[in-house]
Amino acid sequence: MRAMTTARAAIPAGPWTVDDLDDFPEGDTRRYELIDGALLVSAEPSLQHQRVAAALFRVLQDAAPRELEVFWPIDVRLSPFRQIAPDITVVRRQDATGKRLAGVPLLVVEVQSPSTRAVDLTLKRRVLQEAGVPSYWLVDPDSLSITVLELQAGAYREVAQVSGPQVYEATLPFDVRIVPGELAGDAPSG
Amino acid sequence: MTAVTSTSYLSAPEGGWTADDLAAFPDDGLRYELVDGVLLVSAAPSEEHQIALGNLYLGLVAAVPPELRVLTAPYDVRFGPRRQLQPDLLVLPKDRTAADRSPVLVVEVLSPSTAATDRTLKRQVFEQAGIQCFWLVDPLVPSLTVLELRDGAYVELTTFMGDQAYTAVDPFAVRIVPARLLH
Repeated sequence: MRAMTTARAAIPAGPWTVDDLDDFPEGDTRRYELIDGALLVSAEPSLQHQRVAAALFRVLQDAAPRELEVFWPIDVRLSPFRQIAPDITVVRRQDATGKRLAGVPLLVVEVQSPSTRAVDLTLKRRVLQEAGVPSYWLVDPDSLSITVLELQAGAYREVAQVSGPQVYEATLPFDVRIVPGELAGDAPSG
Repeated sequence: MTAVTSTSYLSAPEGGWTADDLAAFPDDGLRYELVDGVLLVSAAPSEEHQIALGNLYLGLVAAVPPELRVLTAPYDVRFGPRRQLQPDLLVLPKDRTAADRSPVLVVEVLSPSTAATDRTLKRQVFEQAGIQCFWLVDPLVPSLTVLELRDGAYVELTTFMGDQAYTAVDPFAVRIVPARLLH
């Protein structure tokens, strides 16, 4: 019974490596990420966060070419001391044949919560840039807007900022048409 | 690693953690910080880190004016209901009754496990809190990088390396030589 064991779960003492994260309790809504041996623990996301993340996931999955794969949160190891769990990750199918992802993702999407905004805009941006992730999208689920960062000469540059009914015709990591205003379905966009 | 840390306290309450929740966390040698509800958990610092921090503390204490106080971590500084950090070193008004007792200087001594966070996330928190002076000490270079708030944003003024002396004016007059921080 997982629920019984996680209630008394314990984690190894830090500083941690990505291997230690394997021993962390599963089956709860906590999200553990590791930046250079320090832990980042995020709380449960809001319904609106999940609604928008799911809608964008479907749009990406429908448009992805055969050689690419779109994932819901997975552990992405960027170094022995860096592991993140993005809301959406797009990878080459050839990098996803084993138990864990090999290689660097082509796209990382973070749907922002009030609690993760500062981390996403500063620390995650730096970590993804250093790992060489070509595209990083930041989605604001409340204002329904997307900021698109792309790696140019080793640094992220903002190449697009779209919101509401505006159409974003992405070319990276593949051709896809995204309308941020449609990502909340019929639900109130808060 | 044989030691274990119980994680029951790592279950966020409804609505996420607040700075008040951190007071109930165990005193287990880990550093617990909060930025907007994301919990940062870091391990005890290295020997180089502590040597540099200790020497910097001694240098600042010898020069600090009577109205200011120098403190080192662990000391919680609250920047909002969901923002609480433990800067490695800070200088703040001595008067506990002062209306604004915000730090006038914070210093982060970089270690491999905190450098990325210090340079990005914490920099933004200190900037948004309006802390005038932010210094970054890298004990492995050794170097001292000086940032000051100009129109609400940090400007990286200079990085002093090795034997280059920094003659500070803000928050008070003091002379810092990065190489000497490792003695």
